[in-house]
Amino acid sequence: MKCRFALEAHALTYRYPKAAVPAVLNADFGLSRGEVVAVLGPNGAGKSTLLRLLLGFYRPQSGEVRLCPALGARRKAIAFVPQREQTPFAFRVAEYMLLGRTPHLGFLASPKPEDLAEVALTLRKLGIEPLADKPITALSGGEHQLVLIGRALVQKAPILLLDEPTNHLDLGNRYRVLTLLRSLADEGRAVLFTTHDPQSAAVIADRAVLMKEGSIIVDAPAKEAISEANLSQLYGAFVRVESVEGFTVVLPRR
Amino acid sequence: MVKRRSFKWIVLLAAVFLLGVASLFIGRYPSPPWMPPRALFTDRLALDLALTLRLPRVLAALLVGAVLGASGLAMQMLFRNPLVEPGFLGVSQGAAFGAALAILYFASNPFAVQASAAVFGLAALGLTYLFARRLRYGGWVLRMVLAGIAVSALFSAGVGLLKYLADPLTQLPEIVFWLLGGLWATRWSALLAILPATLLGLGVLFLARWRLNVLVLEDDAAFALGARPGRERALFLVVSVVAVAAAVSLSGIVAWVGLMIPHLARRFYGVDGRSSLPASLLLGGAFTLLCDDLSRTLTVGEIPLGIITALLGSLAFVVLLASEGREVEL
Repeated sequence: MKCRFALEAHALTYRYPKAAVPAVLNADFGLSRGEVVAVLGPNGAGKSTLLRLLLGFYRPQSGEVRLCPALGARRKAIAFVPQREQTPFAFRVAEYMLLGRTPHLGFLASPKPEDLAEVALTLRKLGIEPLADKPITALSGGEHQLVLIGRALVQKAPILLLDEPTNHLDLGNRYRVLTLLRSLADEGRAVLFTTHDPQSAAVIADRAVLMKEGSIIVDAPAKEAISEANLSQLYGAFVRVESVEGFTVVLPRR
Repeated sequence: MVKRRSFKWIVLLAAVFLLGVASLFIGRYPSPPWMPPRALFTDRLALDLALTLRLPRVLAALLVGAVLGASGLAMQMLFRNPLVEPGFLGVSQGAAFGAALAILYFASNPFAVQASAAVFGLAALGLTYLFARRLRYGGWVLRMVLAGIAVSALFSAGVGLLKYLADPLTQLPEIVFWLLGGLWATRWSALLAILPATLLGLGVLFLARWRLNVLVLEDDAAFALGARPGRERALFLVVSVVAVAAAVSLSGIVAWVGLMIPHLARRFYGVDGRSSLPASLLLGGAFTLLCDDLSRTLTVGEIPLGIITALLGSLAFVVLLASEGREVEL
């Protein structure tokens, strides 16, 4: 059976226990393979909640999330990259990435040599082989983000959901991560990431989803969605959006 | 690399085995500190002593230490906190209360003391869980920690009351000795009684050594990897606590093993549960056995085991933390 989308959501509504208003309200949304979708919005707009609903971690009070059945079980189809994961123990990078193989193992089974080989392959692909034996607590912000993405790649899932992957990163690492995400989508994965930085979205996204107070207010090709009118409405600040040699540039307006 | 790693395991296994054998001969019969192995064949009493007193005691020390070390490591991983130990969540104080109660009201029958310690240890865990569910503050880990502190305080008040009520000549010393921990009363029957719960616990934790790594992650990340973090943490937690309750019902409170040994294991065998869990299990057994040997040979009388483990354990803990080469975020 062919699906229209790899992952789609219909009329999703989610309210946190004891919250007065829903964090996500009536969201309709579809994600296809080969595309990068950026979910944009101010803090508290419901971006991270939407991501966790798509992941299946939160159960919506109404509406549903549908994963294309051809992609198999959820844990093998969707990889999740959390925002700056804190771990209390200093795992080594290779051990940490190996955790991505868990969905392919039995409940109490340990990884096998082929799982280790997968990690070695991914380390090479990301160009971070020298980090393999380093403790994750000794990594820089950019290295840490690459390792987290590496763990998701080791999972071999066709869908990648990333929560604020470029937050806290300096300029060089931000573009390194964004370029990587673009190339992962070009290899045929469906990539969705949240960000509150419209510039990051403008650099790589095919499509931008703008969220405000739990609702999706715009879902359009990135070039259309990232407009002066939309961003001003979203962030309550006036911005200028210019096209410089075909690139969209977001600037503050004085 | 691989060679060095397997070498470390061979050293550890050999050390545990040799220590176990040596412990059969360490003691004050026929004269301190050591019984010549030849005596086993020439001296009937020596053979009896080794088989009916020392062997069960050596095995009990290994078992209790292994359970405390392995559960300590598992609980630190399940709670994502390296300062957690098995007595945490009220289990130790609950077991202490149960033991004191049995000493007071069941004429200190050893089986009653053990059973009561195990039952109250588990009851304390249940109470902590119920409290934690009712708390409306912080995440699950913080709520369990807070509830554990409250339940521990509750049972330690109970222990205080029982000590006050106890006959100062007969019952009070017995309660105090139980609280300080020791294996002097270990016979085969007592060892066999705790065998099912402790071996089951160790077996399950050993099987879960990789899974524990996944459960160290935040809930959403663990879920994305196919785990059901809430349920799996609860399962492994109950297994650990049941094993600990069984172990301390025999030994009394053996302090510091469950906190210090996992740090030692991670330092020398790595953070990954596949190595740190078996290492904690073996190191916990070896450390406790060593302390028990010291407790029964250092002086004519016996120094309670818990005093020795606390003394050596806390010293080792300080040395371990102070000698950490690089800054590590605990």
